[in-house]
Amino acid sequence: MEPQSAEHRVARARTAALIAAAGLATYFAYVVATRRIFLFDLGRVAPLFSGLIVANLVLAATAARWASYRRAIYVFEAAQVVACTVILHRLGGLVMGILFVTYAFPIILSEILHSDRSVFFIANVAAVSFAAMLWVEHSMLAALGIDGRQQVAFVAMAFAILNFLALYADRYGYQLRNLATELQRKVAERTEELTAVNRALAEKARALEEKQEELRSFVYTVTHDLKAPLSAILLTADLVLQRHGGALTAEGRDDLERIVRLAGGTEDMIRDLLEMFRITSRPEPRVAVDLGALVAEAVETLRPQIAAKGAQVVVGPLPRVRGEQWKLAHAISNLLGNALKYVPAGHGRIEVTSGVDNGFATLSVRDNGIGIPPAYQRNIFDVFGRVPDAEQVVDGAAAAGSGVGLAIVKRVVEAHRGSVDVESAPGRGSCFTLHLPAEERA
Amino acid sequence: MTVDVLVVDDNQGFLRAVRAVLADTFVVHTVENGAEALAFLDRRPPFVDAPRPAFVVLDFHLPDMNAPAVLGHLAADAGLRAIPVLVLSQADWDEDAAAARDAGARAFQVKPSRVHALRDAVVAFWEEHGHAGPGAAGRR
Repeated sequence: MEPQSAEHRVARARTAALIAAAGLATYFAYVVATRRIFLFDLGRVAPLFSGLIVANLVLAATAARWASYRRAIYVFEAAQVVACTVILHRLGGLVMGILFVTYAFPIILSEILHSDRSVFFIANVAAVSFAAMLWVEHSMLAALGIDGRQQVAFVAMAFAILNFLALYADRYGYQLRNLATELQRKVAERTEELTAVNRALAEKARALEEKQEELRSFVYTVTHDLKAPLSAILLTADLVLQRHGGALTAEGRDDLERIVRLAGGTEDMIRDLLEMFRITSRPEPRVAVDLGALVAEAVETLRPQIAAKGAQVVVGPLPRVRGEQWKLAHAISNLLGNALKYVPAGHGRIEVTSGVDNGFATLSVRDNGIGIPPAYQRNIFDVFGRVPDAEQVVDGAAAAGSGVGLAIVKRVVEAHRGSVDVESAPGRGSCFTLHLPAEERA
Repeated sequence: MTVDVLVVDDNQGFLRAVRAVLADTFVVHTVENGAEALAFLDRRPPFVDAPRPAFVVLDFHLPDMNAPAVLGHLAADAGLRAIPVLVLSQADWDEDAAAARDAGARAFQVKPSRVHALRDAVVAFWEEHGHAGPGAAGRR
């Protein structure tokens, strides 16, 4: 017997009472329908039927009050069985043999109601009632040619059938209950496992967040502590150059200018490194990102430089992807800024196109700039990886930069489980292509 | 007519450079941390004779407190609240800029590391915000 909640017991009691009412109503309906065929005397059974149906409906409505009184239920059920036997007797008794099947219902209901050995009690109450009915009918049966031995055989068969039915209901119910208990246990087990996994995940997320915060504060401190003295060196050297430059020899001036240039370059590297960290470490929700809007925005921001270079920017239709908008905006802006930097003044052309490649949405930025020598095409995506100044002369001057822009692009797209590649040849322009999962889930 | 400016920064090299760069334009006072800055503004020892600066140039990261904390103290004092403050930082972190502005800074920018850029930044700030400040009112 599995432990069951009071609520569960009430629900079962209500179900059993409703099924009993429905069964009795059907039985009554059958009797009414066949009254002409079997010559039933409705007046003798109608009060019993309606009484039982109403009693069961009342019981269903008040299940919460009586469901826990086991003994009272036994007595009522037994009374119902006896009442059914009286009905059977009034409908013709043993002669209406087929109606014997109606005993199956109280037995099954008893299983629903109690789920214990009470089924055998009810089965035997039914068998005894049946025997009593035969005893009442014995002279009439004898008149019909059913003798005493046959009557005893009928009663024995009734005992056997009803007890087998009870055995069947009991075993079947037992298996169902076992199954339910097992299911409940499994659900509880699984719930516990899930809770544990969730807890572990939450802990991991917290640890990761702490780590992130630690890293952030580390980079922040390093940046400040490295940059502050460097900026003081720069200011001081620049001050000497401004104030006393005239008093220095040409060589001395050169040296001082070199200090300013080198320190300035280092400061730019720290600034860009910090920028990369700032962009790639910022937590951001994944949303539907309109790449077209990001490109338009980047072009708008670069408008003065585009105008200054007299470059032509052509943008094709672009898809939406799922991703981190702010980071993707930086990646796209870096690619466009880069392209603009390397195209020649006057006839620069930058084309932004899109496509689909193996489940990935692609965004390509093609320029007609100076191109990238093959030897450097791999490391341009590394932090501080850039083509030496001598090999990237645009309009007579080396293009400036510390080599962090493409590293940011690579980190951003890889965080989206995408990739970036480049196709380029010196003097023939470059084409950078982002591959982003077309419908990435957050 | 002189304009007093208080520059708060923990890097002595920067303070030395800033004094040299701004000396032609302003009377430059320098202190190296937040506590000294507040003592200077409150005219507490050792700054009992300090003038009321027309504006303040404040480093975001000071050894004892950050710029928003200093600005918080200023905001709590009716006499100091109106002094325009330019916050300089080594990095243009959005959250630092927002924190400084929320605390009452008139401007936030990356610390320039060239002489001309530094002078231009401070002078531009003074021209934009100075005349609304109490120093400017005193001169009228």
